[in-house]
Amino acid sequence: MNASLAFTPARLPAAPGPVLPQAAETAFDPSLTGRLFWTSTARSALRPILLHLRKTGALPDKNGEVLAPRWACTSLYNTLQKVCFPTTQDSPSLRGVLVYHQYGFPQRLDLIAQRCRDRGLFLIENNVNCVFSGAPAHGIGDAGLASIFSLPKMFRTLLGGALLSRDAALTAFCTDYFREDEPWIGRACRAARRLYERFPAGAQRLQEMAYALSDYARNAAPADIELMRADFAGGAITRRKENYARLRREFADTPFFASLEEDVVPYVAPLFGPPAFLSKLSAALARGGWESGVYRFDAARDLFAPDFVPCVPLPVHQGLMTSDMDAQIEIIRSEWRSHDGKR
Amino acid sequence: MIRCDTRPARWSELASALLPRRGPDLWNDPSCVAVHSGKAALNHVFSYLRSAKILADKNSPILTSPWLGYWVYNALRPHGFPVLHDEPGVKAALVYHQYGFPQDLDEIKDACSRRGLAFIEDCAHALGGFYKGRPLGGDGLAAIFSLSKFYPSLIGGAVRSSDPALRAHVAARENAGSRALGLVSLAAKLASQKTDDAASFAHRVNEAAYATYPYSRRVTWSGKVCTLPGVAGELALRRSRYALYRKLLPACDELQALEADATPYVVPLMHPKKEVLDLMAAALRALGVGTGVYMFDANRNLFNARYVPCLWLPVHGGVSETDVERIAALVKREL
Repeated sequence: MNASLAFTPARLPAAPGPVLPQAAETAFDPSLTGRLFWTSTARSALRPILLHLRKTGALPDKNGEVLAPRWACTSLYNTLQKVCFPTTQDSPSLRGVLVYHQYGFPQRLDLIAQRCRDRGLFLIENNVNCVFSGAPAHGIGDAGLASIFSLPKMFRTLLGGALLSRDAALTAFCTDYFREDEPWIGRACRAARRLYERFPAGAQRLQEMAYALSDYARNAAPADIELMRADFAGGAITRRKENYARLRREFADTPFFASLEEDVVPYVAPLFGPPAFLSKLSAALARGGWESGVYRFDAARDLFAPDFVPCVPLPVHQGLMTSDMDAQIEIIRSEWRSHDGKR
Repeated sequence: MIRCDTRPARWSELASALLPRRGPDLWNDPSCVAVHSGKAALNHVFSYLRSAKILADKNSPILTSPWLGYWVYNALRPHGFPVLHDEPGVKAALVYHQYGFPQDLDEIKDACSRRGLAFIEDCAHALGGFYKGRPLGGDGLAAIFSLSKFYPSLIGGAVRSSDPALRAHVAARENAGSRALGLVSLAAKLASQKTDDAASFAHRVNEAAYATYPYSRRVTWSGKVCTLPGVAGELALRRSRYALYRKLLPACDELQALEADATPYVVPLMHPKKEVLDLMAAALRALGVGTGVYMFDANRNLFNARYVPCLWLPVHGGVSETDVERIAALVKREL
């Protein structure tokens, strides 16, 4: 059983052969040709977007403020900070927003995009918890100037990310940008990641050093693209959908997932409930060997006016077999019975 | 090329520091805790604010100045969220005595006490500076210092505070640091000083090493560089170079308006027209001075800052009096 929240990458013996990253676009959608760039990491995708915005003057200098969500990973803020100034507060000095579809569940894009248009703000979508075909009904990935993606969140790849944009000036900038690279950084980041996965405690500092540089690495490693294609073809997304659907089905009579969309391919499934229950559930899952904790989810789905509520994220990745899901569901059910009985 | 910030370390100095020596005075001050670096000092102090519940979580806003190096903000971020505007949720402020010229501490203390904010003095550029006759670094809950901004010590820092609990917290974090990481960061810094190319391998490795500063233990050898003959007088040299600029440029009102008793990291030469500063910067670069136009808080008040462009003039010990005279002559001509 792989009880981590995100699926820990599997090791392929070797990629079947070098694959030009550009050729992999068709794995999803031929219409993406020329506007999709495979990048070393999601941070590597974010950097050229910001550099382009600095070049065009949309970000006047490194103090140009970009609205970002609370509770995000520190390395995301650190990547932003190199080119602009991340903020979590709306203010008149805002220049743009980086909207984050948390765990794959869409923010209120229509509202946010309209607000951005009204105020002349640029909009970047942080789709690191989504796949390209994640939730077309919600328009994820095409609402703003550009979107960034992270492959290891959904597939077994070691690293890998993508940048998607319809903007002609940005894609022209990116075409030039990705012609050059500092390949040693990408290789070092992969080596650090590999070591970290094998020796999490011993290689943690090395991994942090790699994070500090990872946005400078530009192009994706062919092995990551190949593995993503193999995973995609092998039904990784379907399996994720099935696991999520099963959780919804099993707990249809509870408030756990009632506020969530059904047609989403989630990174994890956030389970909502009374705070005391969530703490107990998280502890019970941890005792059962599951990676767990109480996190915060933006229930308002509005970056400008978020409403963070506690949740326990549940893994739904493709590494979970039916028996693993059975075990997870049993723990949740048992804790809920115990909580309900006390009520 | 004459750098503006700090003169690079000489191999002979680094070798001499291997001999037994006493550490810098700052490290022997009982109200100070010696730490790996200024960035580590920041991280440790704000970690204390979190542990003391002054900062509730990593989203708690910390009022900071714009235009700082990105790693300064990154050093705060595990414990709070740096912001550029005073907002209702702000619980702490990082008061930066830019280039060694003091912020208006009376105003700032008043604003902080009215609002119940903890303020930390960023004295990275203010070793040996004064505010109305009293040494900088004694007004806030704590002050952080960076030796390498003034001495060719590569790294080294300190936290000064009258709060024993804060000092104990910082000392515990420092002592839990790794000596191996300390040495790695020292080597990375040394290598990065040999090139000005920010995209070079050495600079990239140094950037990566910044991420480990909060977990690194200080390298005492590096601190001892500050006490070497020829290095220990660095602060006095800076003051004398600064005084020479003031003497050679008597008609430059903005320069004359700066505090005469400062020990500058660099001298910020202001001018109402940025184009004039740009021209001067280009002329100085042609002369072999690695300078540029930056932004300086002319109001000296974090809560009410007014940033104006300024040209950096070097004052460190690697700049001779002749260099200062050449630079001042060029500035005078351009003005």
